[in-house]
Amino acid sequence: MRKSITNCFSKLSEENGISRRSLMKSLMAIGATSALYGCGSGGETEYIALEGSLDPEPEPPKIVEEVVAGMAPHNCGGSCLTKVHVRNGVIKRVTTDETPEKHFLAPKYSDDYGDLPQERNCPRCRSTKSWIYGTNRLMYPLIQTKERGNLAGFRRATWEEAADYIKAKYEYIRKKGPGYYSPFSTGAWGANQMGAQNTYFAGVSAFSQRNNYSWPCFDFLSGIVGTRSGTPPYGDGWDHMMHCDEIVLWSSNITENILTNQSSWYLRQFRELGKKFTIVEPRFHQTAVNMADKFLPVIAGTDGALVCALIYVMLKEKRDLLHKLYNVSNNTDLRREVSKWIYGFFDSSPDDDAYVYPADSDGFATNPKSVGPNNSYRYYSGADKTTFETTHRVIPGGSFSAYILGGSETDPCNQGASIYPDSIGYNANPPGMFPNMLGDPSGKIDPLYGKRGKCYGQVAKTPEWAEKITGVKADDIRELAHKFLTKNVNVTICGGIQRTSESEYQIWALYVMLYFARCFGRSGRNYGILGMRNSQSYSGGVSSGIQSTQWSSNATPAAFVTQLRDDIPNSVIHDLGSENGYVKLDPSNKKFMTAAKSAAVSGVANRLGDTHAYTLPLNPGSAGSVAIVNWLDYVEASQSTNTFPDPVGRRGQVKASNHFNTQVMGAAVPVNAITASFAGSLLNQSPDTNHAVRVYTATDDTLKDSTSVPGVPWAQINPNGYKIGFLYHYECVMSPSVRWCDVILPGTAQFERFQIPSQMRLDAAKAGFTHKAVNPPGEALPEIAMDWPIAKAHGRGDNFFGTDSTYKGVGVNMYEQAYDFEYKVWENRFRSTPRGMTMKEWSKVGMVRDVDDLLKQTKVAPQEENWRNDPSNTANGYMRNTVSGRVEAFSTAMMELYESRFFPNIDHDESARLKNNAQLYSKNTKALADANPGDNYQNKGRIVYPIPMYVPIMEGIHAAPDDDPVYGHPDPMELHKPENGGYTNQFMCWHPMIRAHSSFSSVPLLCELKYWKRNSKGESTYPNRKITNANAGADHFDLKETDVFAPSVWQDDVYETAWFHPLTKYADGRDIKEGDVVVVSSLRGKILVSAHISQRVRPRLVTVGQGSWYDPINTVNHGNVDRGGCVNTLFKTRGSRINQCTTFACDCRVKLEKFIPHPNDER
Amino acid sequence: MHSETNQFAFYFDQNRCHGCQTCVVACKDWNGVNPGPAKWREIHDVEVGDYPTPENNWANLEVFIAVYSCMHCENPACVDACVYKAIYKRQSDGIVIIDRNKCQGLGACIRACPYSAPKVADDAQEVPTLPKGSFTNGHAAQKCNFCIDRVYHEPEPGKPKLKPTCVGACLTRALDFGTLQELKAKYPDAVSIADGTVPGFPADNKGSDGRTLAKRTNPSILVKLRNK
Repeated sequence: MRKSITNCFSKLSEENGISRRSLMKSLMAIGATSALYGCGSGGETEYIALEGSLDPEPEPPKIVEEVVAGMAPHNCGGSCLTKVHVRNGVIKRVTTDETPEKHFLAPKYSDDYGDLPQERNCPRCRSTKSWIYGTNRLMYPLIQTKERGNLAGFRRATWEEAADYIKAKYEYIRKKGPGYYSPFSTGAWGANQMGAQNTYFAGVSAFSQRNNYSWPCFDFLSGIVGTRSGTPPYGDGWDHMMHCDEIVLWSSNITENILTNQSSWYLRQFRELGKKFTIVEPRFHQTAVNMADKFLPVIAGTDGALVCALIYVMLKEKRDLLHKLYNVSNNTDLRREVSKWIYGFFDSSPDDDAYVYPADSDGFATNPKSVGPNNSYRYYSGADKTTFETTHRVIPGGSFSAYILGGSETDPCNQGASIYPDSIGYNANPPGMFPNMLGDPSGKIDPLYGKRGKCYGQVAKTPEWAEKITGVKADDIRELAHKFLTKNVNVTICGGIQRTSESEYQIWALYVMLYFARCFGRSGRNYGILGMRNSQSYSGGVSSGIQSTQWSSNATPAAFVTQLRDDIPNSVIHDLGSENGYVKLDPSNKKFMTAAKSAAVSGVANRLGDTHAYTLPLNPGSAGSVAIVNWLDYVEASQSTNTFPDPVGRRGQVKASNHFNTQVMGAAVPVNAITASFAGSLLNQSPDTNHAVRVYTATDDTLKDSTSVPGVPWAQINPNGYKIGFLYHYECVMSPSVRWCDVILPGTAQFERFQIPSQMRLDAAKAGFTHKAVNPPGEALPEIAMDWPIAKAHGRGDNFFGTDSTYKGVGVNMYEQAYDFEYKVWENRFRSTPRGMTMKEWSKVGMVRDVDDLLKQTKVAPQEENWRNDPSNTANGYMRNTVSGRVEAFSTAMMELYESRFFPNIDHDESARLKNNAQLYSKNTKALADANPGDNYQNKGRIVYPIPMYVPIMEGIHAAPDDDPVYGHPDPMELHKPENGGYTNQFMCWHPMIRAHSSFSSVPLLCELKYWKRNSKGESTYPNRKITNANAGADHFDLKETDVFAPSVWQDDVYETAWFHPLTKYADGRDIKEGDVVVVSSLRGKILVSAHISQRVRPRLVTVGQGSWYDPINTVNHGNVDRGGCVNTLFKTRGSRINQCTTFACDCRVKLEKFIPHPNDER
Repeated sequence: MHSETNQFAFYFDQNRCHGCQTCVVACKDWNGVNPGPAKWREIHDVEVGDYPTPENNWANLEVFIAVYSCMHCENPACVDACVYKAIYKRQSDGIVIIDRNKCQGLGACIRACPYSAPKVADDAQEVPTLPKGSFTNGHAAQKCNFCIDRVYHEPEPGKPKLKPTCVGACLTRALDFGTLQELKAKYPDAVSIADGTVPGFPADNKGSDGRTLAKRTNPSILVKLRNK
């Protein structure tokens, strides 16, 4: 007993600076209260054991901490309120908003009625203490002295040494012919800091990322088929959703992934107000648990088939309701009405106006070099913008509705039955084309080459057909179609539906169905991505006190940026070459150069001038960017010295792409440096983690350079000869992405500095501020310090933190200087603050909300409503992106976009010929047809068609067995066959609430939660759990100057939980048991997981939450496995069919084996 | 004597809970319970039915979540089970308290409690407080105390007193706190879990070791049944 008292006394005495005697006295005065509590949760928790029996009802202890308010810093849609309770410089507790709230369930007109919820945080932010005092905090700059990825090779450096090292590396790569990539940086623990890096590397910048990571397919489609104005469709505001009858959550696990603020509470309110919920999802997920009135168990990647069947029911079985919906009495009127909003849903009739496709001067209709009114991308004809090469009508049987009905029947509104074939091909690397094909360690040919999938052109898309494909009961499909036609249905879509190889077609089809069902532009009858409108309207300029709060998200000091920008000579901006599919940065084009450099230095280089993400290859706005899924492929191609004749015959010599990506084939500048800050996408969130490691560790002996780094004699420039000469990261924790870097700078976490959460994460009517509450550990510095080595490399390091204070070296107030400087930067950045508050006032409350604004911003967007009322009105940019100014269910532009990226778009298989000798026009195929008049080219099948057909995903499953010739999944690579690996199960991941992408995978309070980290017996396990006192310093991080980093981040016998249906079997037919450690293998890699047997996933589906940390080991019985359970180990870098834009988190076949450990397995 | 008018109790809406475990984390955080096996609140779930497929005739699936800590029972079995009299029930509000000073770590309370509410840490979670032996791992038992500081003190001068941290944390507002009398009045359709028919909640007549208890414990919690 006494021992624990003594321990705690000494701890409290140290903290308070008071004597043991006086402390004893004060403790006795509060009686036995401490028997109920630990003495401090920032330090080691010990229960103070006093004599409770002296007083059976002791006075409860008082709450004594100082409270500091703040908000989520990581990549989260929540932006909830988090309060930390601080005592003696240590965070002791974490709470949330507990002020009175208003909600819709209260009696109307009562004080509690309204839309002002408490901003309650979730487990992620509740565990803030566990992040900040975690065992894997980075406290000092570290430099790798051995091979990349070797945790024991990191050596502690001073900030001076780190700066010297970075400067030397900068000079090295600049000399070598620089190519530089900055991956998507979410700002896992802080703001997006790409700005600072890109400031530094503007002089060597080569390429960055096309599309955003989150919504690439939605963005892409918005530009091609027209869904609102060049962005993902905005979902409804909350009170707008109140006007609906039914809510469909389609691929929307929004309570768990926290798509937007307080989503679970809002949805719950709506359900209790009588709204019915339909969940369309492969997993019976957390949102389904307490929301689902109807659960439609769609198999991942078959959504397109479900959509087709819904339309089939509307056309064939509920025509009367369809007429009623459009307020028409006959099919002629129906056709006319539908065509007002949707182009190509029905075939064109002879008396339609001709639909004009422009022929641009450089050959592609979709080339948006001609910029229309209001800077929109409208497609004008030839050079004089008055002449047109050809006019188009949707040919008989070519419309989307003709495809839906198939080859045996013709809709009364159409001119013929479907012209489309039943099978479809792929563009893949042919054998011999690339003898040293990268990306296939086995040296085999591309497994997709010559293979065929299905596209069901002649099949009627009946609900019974769809049932055997999607796993959704036919009658449930009919019921949902009925709801769309008769009720106010509100549809929320989220990102998971994008994560397949056929995402463009499937989401396009879904869009068309929703417009066809009139699910847009009306209060309570709308669709989109929830919360998007809220965040978007922030910049909409609503002039309330809060809305006018504006800031830049870039933490780079403006003055420094300006100076640096002026210094960058145009000549160092590299010419990427338009011939390579990327824009030529023309130094003589002053306007563009200024824009490019501005973009680089202002933190938006990932969208270098790009208005939105569908960026075409010749579009100046796309300046050398690749889709995030392609970038590893791009890096390898860029570094290759071998070239090959262009297989498309349009560009001379090209590089090798792993996946026949013709844009990647144009990679010209060898990528030589990668820098990141808070970027899980560097490795753990990369499209293929093993591929990433291969890229980061690729060497070339001719590149070996053992020159000592000036100022850091124990470090060498490039002793291993890495092809990527420099990998740099600024982070708070030793994450897997950091592990492979050459130099790591330690960053500050939330509450260790000022922070304004990014506006992307805020509702329109909310402004947040996070005040500094505690000091960071060791020598971690605020983000602004990340720019110091940059400044130093440019000769400005000595006086970086301002004229008033001179930098004197690490250990002498550097933190204070950086912190003060950053505060000033923030202060200067605000053009206004909420309600004119001072920074101090704002920081005190942490979050300011405005009820009036909440109500304002949740109305139906006027342009959507206007467009519904008058589809000829495309004012405000609505539907401005399409050629027709309408939603396009038939888009020649889609084909031409694909072709303009140098992809061949002819399916030479005779079985793919179009029926009825139909001729599909696109500019490039017409050129081929003209050159080969005997081949009837325009009658040939295509890789990309102008309609959103259902094409099974590359590595998916159907409800019917694989060997069912009619309904079975085509499995084009025949992975289910034993000789090809026997991959018979489907894998998918999701966004778990306990992590934000790869952030927080090591947080002890989250790891121990049920169904997360488990040991080999299937029991809860407790990794990384020494909670350290920030003031004392974490022992193993408290390195002496010559020490190396001692790893303890990853631990043995800790596995991520995977969910299996009881009927899912091992490859050898045995049952999987609860708690088994299972090897999940794909063509790309293997992970170890702990099996949880559940009815919440379908048979043959394996699911694991994304973001668990990659930890590869070598095992005797299973070879190289990732025991960390990082799902990206299983995925691939091949692009999706059309835009090549999305990662494949739901498009992965796996096989399952029981893990057999061996004493010689790597630990 | 405590009675319905002064017995503190939980309310749990099984319709609202989706199993996010925010309350579990909030509980540990507020009460300074380090990561490790001692968890004052835990989630339990019961799957009823099957994942719908044609093979099972499109079965319906329902998931019942139960998240609970100590129920501060009317007749706490833990109190009777402890030979060292280390557990007592406060007269004024019915909160059941473990006096860790007296606890000898035998674990009888855990076995007697139908809900296994008392927990024992390991050495990495807290410094051992007891000698280790054949009956003890060196750690006194610990459990929920209804966040007694929150319910009795203003968090800041002038601010209203707070409910237990789990209640304030719940994302879907599935939890509430008050006296039994208050909760019964506020949630007239809520029921007792004592008979063990509410999925996820064990009956109150058997200890977690399966032995029948001398007295039913009558837990201080009201539950709104799913879909009711």
